[in-house]
Amino acid sequence: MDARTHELYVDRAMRNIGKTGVRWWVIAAALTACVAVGAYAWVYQLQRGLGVTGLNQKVSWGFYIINCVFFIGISYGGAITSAILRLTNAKWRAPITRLAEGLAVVALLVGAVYPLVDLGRPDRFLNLFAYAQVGSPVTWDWVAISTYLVASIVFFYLPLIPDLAVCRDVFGSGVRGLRGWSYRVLSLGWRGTPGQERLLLRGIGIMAVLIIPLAVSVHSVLAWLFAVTVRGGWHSTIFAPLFVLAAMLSGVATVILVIAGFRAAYGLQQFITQKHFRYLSYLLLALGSGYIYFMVSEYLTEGYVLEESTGPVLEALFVGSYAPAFWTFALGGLLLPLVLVALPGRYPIARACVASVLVIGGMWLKRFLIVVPGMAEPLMPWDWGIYQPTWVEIAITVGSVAAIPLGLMIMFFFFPVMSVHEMEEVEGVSEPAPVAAGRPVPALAGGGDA
Amino acid sequence: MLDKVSRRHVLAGLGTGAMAAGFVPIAFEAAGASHPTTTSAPQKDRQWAMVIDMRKCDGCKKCTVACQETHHLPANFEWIKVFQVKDKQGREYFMPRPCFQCENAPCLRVCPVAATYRAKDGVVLVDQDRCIGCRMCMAACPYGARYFNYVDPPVPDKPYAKPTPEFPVSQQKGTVGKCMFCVHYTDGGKLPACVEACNMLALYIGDLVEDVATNGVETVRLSQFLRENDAFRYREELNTGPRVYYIAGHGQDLGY
Amino acid sequence: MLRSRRALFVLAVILALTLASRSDPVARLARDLLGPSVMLYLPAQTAQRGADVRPAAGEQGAVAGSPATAAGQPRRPASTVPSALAAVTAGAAAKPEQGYVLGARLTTSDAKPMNQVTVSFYELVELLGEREMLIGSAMTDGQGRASLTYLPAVAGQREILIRSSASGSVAPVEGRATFVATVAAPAYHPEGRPLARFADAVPSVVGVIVLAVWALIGFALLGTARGVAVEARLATRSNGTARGVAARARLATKKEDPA
Repeated sequence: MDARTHELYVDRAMRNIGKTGVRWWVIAAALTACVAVGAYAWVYQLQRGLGVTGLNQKVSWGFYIINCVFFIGISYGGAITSAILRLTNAKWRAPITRLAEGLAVVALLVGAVYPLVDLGRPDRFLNLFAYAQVGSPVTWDWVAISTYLVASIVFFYLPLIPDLAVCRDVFGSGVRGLRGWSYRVLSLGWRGTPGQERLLLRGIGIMAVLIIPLAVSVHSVLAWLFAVTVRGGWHSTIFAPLFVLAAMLSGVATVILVIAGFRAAYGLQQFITQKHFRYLSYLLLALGSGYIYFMVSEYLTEGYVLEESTGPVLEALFVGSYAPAFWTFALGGLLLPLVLVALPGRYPIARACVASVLVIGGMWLKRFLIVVPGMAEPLMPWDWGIYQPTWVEIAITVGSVAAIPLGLMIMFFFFPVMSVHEMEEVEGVSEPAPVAAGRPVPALAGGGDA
Repeated sequence: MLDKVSRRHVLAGLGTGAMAAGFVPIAFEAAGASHPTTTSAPQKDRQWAMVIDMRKCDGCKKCTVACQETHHLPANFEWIKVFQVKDKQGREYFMPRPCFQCENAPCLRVCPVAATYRAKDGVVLVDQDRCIGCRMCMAACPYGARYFNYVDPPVPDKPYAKPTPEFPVSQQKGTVGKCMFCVHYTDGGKLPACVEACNMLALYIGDLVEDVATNGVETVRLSQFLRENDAFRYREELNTGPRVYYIAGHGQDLGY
Repeated sequence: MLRSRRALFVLAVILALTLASRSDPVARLARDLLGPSVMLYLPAQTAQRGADVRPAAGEQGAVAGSPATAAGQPRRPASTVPSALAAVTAGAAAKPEQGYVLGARLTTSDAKPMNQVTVSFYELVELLGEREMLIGSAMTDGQGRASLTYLPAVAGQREILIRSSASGSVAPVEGRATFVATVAAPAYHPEGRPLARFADAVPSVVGVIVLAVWALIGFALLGTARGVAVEARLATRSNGTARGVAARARLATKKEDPA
């Protein structure tokens, strides 16, 4: 990357900081309205109890648990693109890691709220800490999620330090308030010295290695919420790997959508190129194929034997009342998008985006098909349960879906949308030596590397 | 200078935060604070069990009604639920299902706050003051024996003292309730509501330690009664160790 | 004359009482109202002396450490036809693990053994009220003896009740005995869980792992932050990153140009 391109990169990364326009406000307003409706629905539920949902004695888990798994799954995009690509030293990751890590933090914050929404007595959530039972999957849940949340925030923050320093220097004292404070304070006095670089790389390296097992643990724990019960369709040994893979798949798909959106809105076409979408599509293809394999393995094992508890669930999924949803997911949400990205052809970005939308929708549907038939299947000689979500659950879902782009927009109002430091790291360009105070800054229309 | 001071504050704050957060897992060791016992301790060392004689059950559901009246439950709360079963040969019979008070209870294992616990006499109780309403126990129970208070429970017409796990009346919204073998009655020498109410004398309450069971009129030697009548437990293969035994009567599928 | 009328009156009362006492509820009422002393005046009551305090021949002897007491109390008297007497015993069985042999010997009031009478054996238990738990039944033999081997579930004082069935014209009779059981077969065997002992170690292991992870995160964050801050102090004389300074200059230049 030549110097000019490098400058352009920095400029583009910083361009939208602190800037809002009409378009920004319109979109933000629409998203805020959705979030507000969701928040109102939650307050409505807090006042009246969970009776306002479609949950009942047979189907006692529904949208909230589905969404919890779904949104935490989306946060895996950050773990993969940032951590795994970093560890495998994939050079193309640099322009997209900031977006991916930001998505991870926002999605995780949204997903981590859902267990609270689902509680019958949220005012007693402190009991979880005071009387924590180590044998309970719910305990594993809050421990894993809280640890992963903190780790994601740290993993987002550490590579951000040098970029915050650049912001501090670019905007100087022209910025007051929260932004100014965050640049000055959170950049920790970054100067770009070799010593600091070394420390930062060490810290990021530790987090990159740590966040992968943490991410795996979070979704494994979510899977075990279901798998340690004896319900049909739940009590499966492959659940933890299945959930992890599903999370990675939905995470990568969401990353594709997010980078496509910000690329268009912030004019990053020169840096987030077709190559990124093609590579992410390959990742989508690999993960999707793996997911198909896991699903086939599970259904084959269960279907061949058709035990008393699993038989009815499989029947309902393949040919019964849940068959429309299942085949929509399998064909429209898994097979079709993979075919779409596998075939060579034009419009890789458009195809990747369409495929991602299908995958995300399909993954939500799959979580629905895991939770609801498992709960509805009769354990005793009675009828199947019925679940009809109410406006409260739908509103909260819509609100949380809207909260993610809103959160990202707010986040990248403050921070550079592309990681400057990571690009330098990838390109092997070192930070120029610190400029000594007092010496006049060379006037530069194009030469930045002293 | 200002730079340095704020940095130090930030670092101190972050450090304290991280340290504090790191100690959260130590809460594990604070787990399982014991539940206060509120009723008089029973005099004998009992291990309660029930025997349900399906030869006699006629599906009248007086047991369900008696339980609902005793505990002031809404109509859809059937702590003892009578199933009308049609077996594979097409024969119909009735199967009352109270909570099985499993010895190896899945609901006990998965409760994150130990709101559900096992009393000394083997009965599984729910402390509705501690329950957070996560409904993990409902997902884990293989018998659908737990009921969640989605809405405000009915208010009893006469005032009761503060609800206890042994007598959770009235129920609390947002928590889980279930059959507790009427320990509030048995501790005081009375029969459980369902056993008392059964006209067909199909429900027996028994003690595994003293090896005796009674339906209020007839008293039998428990182990002998079970042996002679080929008693079985429902879905024994789940290995939950239920304390409720069934006596099949109409040639129904015994599951083995 | 008056005296004879009084005497007649007394005789009538006695006759009435005699007839009335044959009816169960009246007898019970009388007993409840007047207490045990009344029993002595009711002609139907026969003496307790028929009770056998020695174990019958052929049985192994009394339970070690306690005399086998027997108290035959016929509650419902028979008619003028001989009534039955029951003598109940409890003795140790041939092998200690078999428990105890409960015996009942039925004789009519004129000392004839009652043959082929079904005797039901009950244990008196307290389970939500005083209850009679059926243990089993046996038929009397030619000598009027019926026996049942019984291994109680709980050691300690046990009270046995027997009831005979009606035989011909002889009404049913009850008898009781208490004994102290030192041998018992517990019926309740709580199942042990495999791998249960590992469950105790799990909280500690999990806690250590979680603490270690948090410590690592803390180190990654704080170690880096502290190091960066320290280094920053060493390089106080700089303006900032060169990249940043250059970018600022560039942006300043750009602002002057029309967009």
